[in-house]
This record gives sequence, structure tokens and C-alpha cells, in this order.
Amino acid sequence: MATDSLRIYTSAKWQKAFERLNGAEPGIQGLLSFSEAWQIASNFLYPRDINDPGSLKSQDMQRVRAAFDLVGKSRMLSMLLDKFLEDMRRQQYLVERDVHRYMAEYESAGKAEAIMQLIFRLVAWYNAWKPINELGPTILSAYTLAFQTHIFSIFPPSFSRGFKQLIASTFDLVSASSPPPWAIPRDLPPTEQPPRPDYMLWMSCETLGLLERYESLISSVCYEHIEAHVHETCAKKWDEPMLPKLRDWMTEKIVPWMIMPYARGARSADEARAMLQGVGSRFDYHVCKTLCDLRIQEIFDIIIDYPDSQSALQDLKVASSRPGLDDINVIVDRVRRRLQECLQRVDQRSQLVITLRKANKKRLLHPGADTKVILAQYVSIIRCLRIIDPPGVLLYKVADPIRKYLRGRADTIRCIVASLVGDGESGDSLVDENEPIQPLQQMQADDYTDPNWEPEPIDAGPDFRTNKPSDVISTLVSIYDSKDLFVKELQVLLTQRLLAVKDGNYERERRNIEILKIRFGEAALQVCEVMLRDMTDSRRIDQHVQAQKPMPLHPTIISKHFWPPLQTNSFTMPGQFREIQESYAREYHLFKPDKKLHWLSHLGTIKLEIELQDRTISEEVPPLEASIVELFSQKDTWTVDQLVTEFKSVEKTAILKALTTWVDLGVLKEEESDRYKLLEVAEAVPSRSKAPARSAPVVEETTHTLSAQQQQAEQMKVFWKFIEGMLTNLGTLPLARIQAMLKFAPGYDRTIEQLAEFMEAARREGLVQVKDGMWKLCR
Amino acid sequence: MKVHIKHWHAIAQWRWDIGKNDDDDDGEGDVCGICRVPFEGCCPSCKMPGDDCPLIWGECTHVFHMHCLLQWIGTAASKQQCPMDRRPWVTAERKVDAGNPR
Amino acid sequence: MSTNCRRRLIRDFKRLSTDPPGGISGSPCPDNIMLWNAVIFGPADTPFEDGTFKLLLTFDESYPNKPPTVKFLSRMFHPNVYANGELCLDILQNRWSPTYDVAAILTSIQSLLHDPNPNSPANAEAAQLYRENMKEYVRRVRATVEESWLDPDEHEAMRQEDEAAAASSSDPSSS
Repeated sequence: MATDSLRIYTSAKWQKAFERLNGAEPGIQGLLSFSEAWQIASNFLYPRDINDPGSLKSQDMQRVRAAFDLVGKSRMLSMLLDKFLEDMRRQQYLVERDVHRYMAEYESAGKAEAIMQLIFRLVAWYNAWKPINELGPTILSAYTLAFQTHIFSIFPPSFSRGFKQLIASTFDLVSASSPPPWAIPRDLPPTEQPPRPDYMLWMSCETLGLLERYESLISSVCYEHIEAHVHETCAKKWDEPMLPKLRDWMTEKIVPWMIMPYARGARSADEARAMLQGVGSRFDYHVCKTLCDLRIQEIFDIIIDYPDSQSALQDLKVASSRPGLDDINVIVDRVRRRLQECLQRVDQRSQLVITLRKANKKRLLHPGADTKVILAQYVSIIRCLRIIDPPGVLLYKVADPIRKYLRGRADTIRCIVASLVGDGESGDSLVDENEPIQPLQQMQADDYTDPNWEPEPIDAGPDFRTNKPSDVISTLVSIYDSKDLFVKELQVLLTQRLLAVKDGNYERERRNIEILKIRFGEAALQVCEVMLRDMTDSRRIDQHVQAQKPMPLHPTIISKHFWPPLQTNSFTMPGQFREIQESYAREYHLFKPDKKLHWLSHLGTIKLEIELQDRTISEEVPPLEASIVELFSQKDTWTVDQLVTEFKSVEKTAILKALTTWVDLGVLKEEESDRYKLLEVAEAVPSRSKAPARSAPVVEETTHTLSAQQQQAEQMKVFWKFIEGMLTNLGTLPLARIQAMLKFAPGYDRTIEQLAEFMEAARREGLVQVKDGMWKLCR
Repeated sequence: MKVHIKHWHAIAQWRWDIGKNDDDDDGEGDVCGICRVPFEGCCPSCKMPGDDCPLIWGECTHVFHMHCLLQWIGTAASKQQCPMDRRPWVTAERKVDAGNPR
Repeated sequence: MSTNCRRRLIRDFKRLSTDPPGGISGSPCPDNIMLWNAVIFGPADTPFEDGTFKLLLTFDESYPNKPPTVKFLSRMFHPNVYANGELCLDILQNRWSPTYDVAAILTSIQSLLHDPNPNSPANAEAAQLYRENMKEYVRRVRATVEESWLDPDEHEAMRQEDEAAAASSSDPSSS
């Protein structure tokens, strides 16, 4: 049904096509020469099997070029390309065969060299099939794309593993003196030496487009390499700064390596630098982060090691501050090390807090840990975290659970106070000798006029209070809301020390008090001042009394209300002891007619010489022991019950203990149960042999004072009266008001939390009720 | 057996001798009627107890911290009377600082 | 800042709280130790029985060498208590002694409820009724007792009403 017009149209089309191929040649001459040129060109391009030596292209390049020229002129190049790509597809099995062969080799031996060989082989295929450059970049890139797409599609999954392994080996390769045989293609002419040992590897990879395709894999290889190096060189190495060393390593090892994968095309050093900038700072950042993570994992032990581990802390401080926008110069030129503090890495800071809190909870804050140890570690934590984070935000977050825990420990105050006054054996490890003694510091509000003021770090919580780098003691004392408890405990400790002083030398205590006055303020230590003055006065009085009438008795005369409550199970001393006491008291009264003495007979020590028929025994004993032996000098046999009657207020166990002392010394003997007899003549069988060796002195350091915490419990009973009274007067009160009122009560030093607990207990007992936070008495 | 005392380190408290036998009182002891602080403590104006903050005895037998009493006597409202019995205050000579070398 | 006066008041507070005399109670304001609230419970066997009478004590720095100013906050009908709540009590004026403390003051006031002194009247009407018409005296006192049970708010409202009434009728009792 071809119409005329259609016929004409077809014929015109055909004529046009014919003319394109035939050109201006006569007849079909043009068509024939085109056909020949097409034949030559497509034959030249045909992807051959490089395993077949006979298929090598030994063509007359002049003819080939002419043929391409003609095809080009006939605008048939695209058809030629299509045919070429189609031929490639048909020949692909050749390449695939090789890929399988090399990959099988890799999978059986696991060596990255097989991958290298595969890559070289693929490059050989690529080069063999590559069209000549004269065909122009379009055809070349279409070819390259098709080739790469193809090989990527046939790589088995194990290829990326192998490739990663190969890239990992380049870190060693780059520093090799010459490339190992596996790193250069077999067909490389011996005259052609690559400029670097890893040069051929990288260039081949680039030829195949592997660098682009596996870009993230390559950088992850570098990340892993960095991590391995950091862990290997820095783990548990805290005594020197590692970050500078790591940066040196980056400069010497990683930067040279980076040139090939990241700055191959650079034509000048500046250009290379520019190309390396982004990736370089990522790697430097990774060095910092890895070191940071490592140190954070180690932080608890680093703190234990402090101050030997100072360098590790410095590293952590620097490394945890993001290098931020610092360019590659940091690494390449080792010039700039100024870090931008304001870009502190918040995530790692919080990781540090979490890790340290966890470690503290697991390793420190448990019943098995000694309070002294906890305090020492807390002090180290304070010092360490100050190095990392001077504003103290990290410390604030880490310290909180420690402080809460310490608050719940019964002997915390005692331990702190002991270290304050340098408790002989435990040493004053908590207090740094070099730290200046300064008044206790309160948490301060920000002083914005301070030129050194800096805003709080962004991870500071709303409850964070700037804790100006105050001294460790202030920080410890601030575990408790009031310093009164410390003063009380101090008083208890001072009492023990002063009452034990026998040689009149309490200079150390005086010096301690002078130091503590600076810390706690003079008013708080007024009581201690009185105690010290009592010591001085006692000595002066004793000198006077001894001048009037020499006596073996040398009392410390104390001012009742200025010493902590002393246990008052006193007793009347027998015989010569009482006489001496009375004699001394008389002399005292003559000297100070307004005053008289009240003996605390159960306190103090007495050095005795006991003269028996066959021996003399010298011993220093407590007053009760002395009194008992005195009784035996009056009558040589006593029953325990008789003694109990004699001493009235003294407990039977104390009397038994005193008797045992003399039995151990061979002075007394238990004749029958609860009946003791004086041994004027030592028994043949020394009773000592059956008694355990008495290494401990008779005079033990018994605490005659109630600890501050015992006193506290007593006081709470008193405070209930106050609370009852104020609720009667004022009806209902919120907790804060009750707390405010109790502050008036002498000696009240509870926190509002403690008060809340107390009130809650009172509520359970049905004494008070609470509604909407208002407390009232139950009627 | 003979017991010889070589050296005796003892502890004692001092008390004001206010003519009472207080051998085993464990409480606060007597307080000054004006400041309510124990006699053996010190009046609110003092820091050191004892000789630095002495007592004053009246002929009426009432005793106060000296500083407390003098302050009261110094006010017009006191009419120079003892705060306890409103009798004219006369300091008893017997006790005041007698024998104190200072 | 702790002055002698404050230290003494703290001791007073301690004594009053730990060893309170019967029927009285007192404590300083949380924010000002120089200002005390107190309650005296009406003594048994008197017309004031069961009343809870509130007082305000104001101290100055010369305490205890000078007495505090004492004032009833609850409305009182008593020969020795003025209409404004101030009271006429010798120990708070010319017979003051520094040996008195808050407990002593409150105890004295409590006994004044027991035994009014009609010879130094601060409320002439109450003094007269006390002498001449005990039944009416008791009735008037009972009214104040009941009033003393009211909450402070209600009490304040009533007080304002009273003041308004007193202002409009310009004190007929004294004329």
C-alpha cells in the first residue's frame, strides 16, 4: 500500500544514507571504501584474548588511522563503538575466567599478593582492549566505564576483603627500599623503575577505578591502621605525652602514604597540601579520638597512677579538644598546635564522665574499700580532672556520687580531719605540701568583672556551680553542708592527742591549730584555742604546785565546756592515790582560791613500780589497774564482786580486764573462779607462758570521747523538741522553714535532706503529718 | 607489796568554788542567771573561760559572770539591784580574785 | 553576726524547747530571731481555759538588760491587757530583771490570766466586771476563748471588722 509520497520519502532517505557512506565518490566507490574501512576499524578494536599470542594487534597503524578517519567522516563512529562494546560483552568471559582464577588463588592462600596480581592482570586486559587515543575521550571513557562496570560486576564478595588486605599492606610497602616482586607487574620493563615502591599498585588501582569505588574502604583501612598503632604504642603508657609522638608518626608514616591515594595528581607541593587537607584533618582527628577513647577506658587506673600519669592526662586534655578547623599543617608542618578550646568535644566529655562514674561505682564505692582509699582516690580525681577540665564541669559530674557515698560513711569526717592534722601513720597524703594554706572557699557566684572569666562549658548542667580551682581541703570539707562537724571531730581528735601528751610537748598540735585557723577561721576554732590554753595553764599550775609540794601527780586541768563530752564513768581512787589527789587539790585551791579541782580519775596513765618480796615490776597502767593493785596492797585476796562493790560505777568487764592485766604480769593469780590473790613470790611456772605474748601496751588508746557522729545522733533527739515547739506555735510549716528555724538551735548542722529523712521518720511514727509540703503536728 | 607511784598523768576539770559540793554532777552545772551560760563557760563578751572571765559574788550570796553583772548594774533600770533578789548589790570581798597573782 | 543578745535568745529557745513549762510555747521567726511568736494556753479552772492565745515578743539588742515588748495578737478581755494587745505587767516594766528569760515571761503572763490585778487596770471595763459582775466577765472572756480557736485568717478578718467598728464609733467605753 506504498503510496507515491512514501516511496519518494524512502528513496530520498536511502539516497541520503548512501551519500553519507559513499561521499562524493563516483558510483559505489565510496561505499566500497567505507566498507573496507569499517572492516579494518572494527577488526582493530575487536577485544582479543591476550592469552593467545597470535591475536596481537600487528596492524598497519597508518591504514587503521585512515580507516577510523573514514568511519568518522561518515559519522559512523557511534555505531562502531556500539559494535565494539557488543564485542566486549561477548569476550568478557575471558576476563571473568582470569578473575575467578586469581580469586580462587586468593581464597585458598589468603594472600593479598593474589589480589595484586589480579589487578595487574586486569590492567593488562584493560590496556589490551583500550581503543587508541585518536578516537577521542568520549569513546575512551565509554570504554573505561564499560570495562569497570563489568569487572565490578564479576568481583566475588571476597574481593573487598582481599582489597582491604592489599591496601593495609601498603603502609609497609611505602617505606620499603624497593618494591617487592609482587608489587610490580611482570611485564614491566626492567629499565622502568617506579618512583615509589607502591606506585604501580596505586596507579593500577586508579586505572581500574578501584580508588574511587573503594574510597571509604581505603579510609577505613587507614582508620584501623591508626587505631592499631595508637593501641599498640599508647596503652598503659602514661608517663610521657604520647600525642606529639603520634603526630610525629602521622607526619613520618601516614602523610607520605596519603600522597598516593589522595594526592596523586598534584603537580606541586602546595597542590598536594591542598588536596590532603580535608582527609588529613580527618585522620588527625581520628588519632585524637582514638587516644581519647583509650585514655577514657583507662581513666580509673590513670587516676590511681597520678601523679606519674600526668602526661596521659595532658594528652587527654589536648586530644579531647577537637583540632577542629586546623588544617593539615598541623600534621605536615608540625607548626600549629593551638587548639580551639571552645570546640571541646562534648560527646567524649560525657563518655569520660560515664566511664569514670561506672568505674568508681564498681571499683571504689563499695563496702570493701577503706574510707582513706576512697578519699585518696577522690583527691586524685579532683587533681586529675582539673588538668583535663579546669572549669570543673567534669569533676562536678563525676564527684557527685562519690560525695554522696562519702557522706553516708561513718568515718569520713574522721578520716578527713586526721589527714588535715597529719595523722602520723596514714600520712597526710590528701594534702599537698605545696598547696598554699588558704581559707575554706565557698562556692562562688560568677564574677563577670574578672578579666579571666570564661563562660561555663556547654555541657555544664543547670545545677553546675563554678567551683573556682579551690584547694582540695575546701572541696573535701564541702562534702558536708556545714563545717561545724569538722570542727567537732577536730576537737575530738585534738582531745585524744592532748590528753595523751605526757611530756608537755604539744607543739605539733599548736601548729596544726594555727594552720586550721587559716582554713576554718578563728571563731570556729575558739574552742580549740581554749583547749590549748588549758594545756599551757596546767603546766604553769603544776610547776607552781610542785614547787610548793613535790608530787608524782601531774594533771592536765581542762575547762569543762570546751572539751568534747568525755565518758564520765569515773570512780573514787583508793589509798595513796586518793591522798595524793586531795593533796594536789588543796595546793591548787590555795593557788586559785576561786576554783577547785574535779578529778576525772578514770583518765590518764600511771607509771608504777611494784615492789614484791622477790621482784620489782615497773609498768605503766590506766588508773583502774593502778587502783586495783593498790587494793591488793591493802588485802591480798579479793573477789570480783568485792571489787565491783568497791568501784561502784565501774563495769564488771572493765574490772575483769584490769585484773587480767595483773595476772598477765604475774602479780595476781586467779585462785578459783572470780577470786584473785596477790603473788608476793613469783610462781615457779611463769603464768606468762600460757598467756599470749603481751606485745600490746597496757595503756591502750581507748577513745574516751564520743565521736562527732555519735554526738549527732544524741542531738537529733533534742532537735525534735524544737520542731515540736515551732509546729505548736506556727501551726504548719514547709520543710525549708523548719530547717531555717533549726539553724537557730545551737549545734544544729543537719542538711535539709537529713531533716527530711528525720521528718519522714517522725511521720511514720505518727508524730507529724504532711500535706502539700506543709508539716504539722498530729493531735 | 609496796606500790610506788613514779609518774601520774591525770585529768581534772576545774570548777568555780561557789560553795556547793558538786562531786558528781554531769550536767551543765550552774549557769549565770543573766546570760544563762554555765559559770565554767564564759560570758557572751569573752572568749576564754576561767581567770579571764571571772565570777562576782554578792553579799546576798548570788553569783554571776562579772561582766554580765557589771553590764546590768550599768543600766539605769537596774537601780543597782541584784537581779535575783532586788536587794542593793554589794560585792562580797571574800572571793573576788583573792590570791590570783595577776 | 552573733551578738550577746542573740546568743542569749538562742539559749532561751533551747530552754523553752527542751524543757517547756506547761501550757506555754514560743519560738523565734525563722528569718528574724529578734521576733518571737508564742502561744499561751488558757489555764485550767479559769475562764480562759482552752483558749490558745497568741503573742508577739519583740526583742532589741539590749536584751536581757532590757525587757522585750510583749503584745497579744489574739483579742483579749482581761483587766491588765489593753485593747491593742499590750499588757500591763510589772516585770515587763519597772521590775524587769536580766535573769528573766522567755519562759519566765510567758509563765508570768500565764499566771496573770489566772490572777488578774484589778488595781492597775488596762481595760477598765474588764476590771470593773471582774470586781462586780463575774458572770458577765466570764461570758466576755469565753467569747475571746472561742475566738482564739479561729484560724489566723479568720481571726484577722474579724479583727479588721472590729477595728472598722471601733473607728466608726470612736471608743465609747472610755468616754
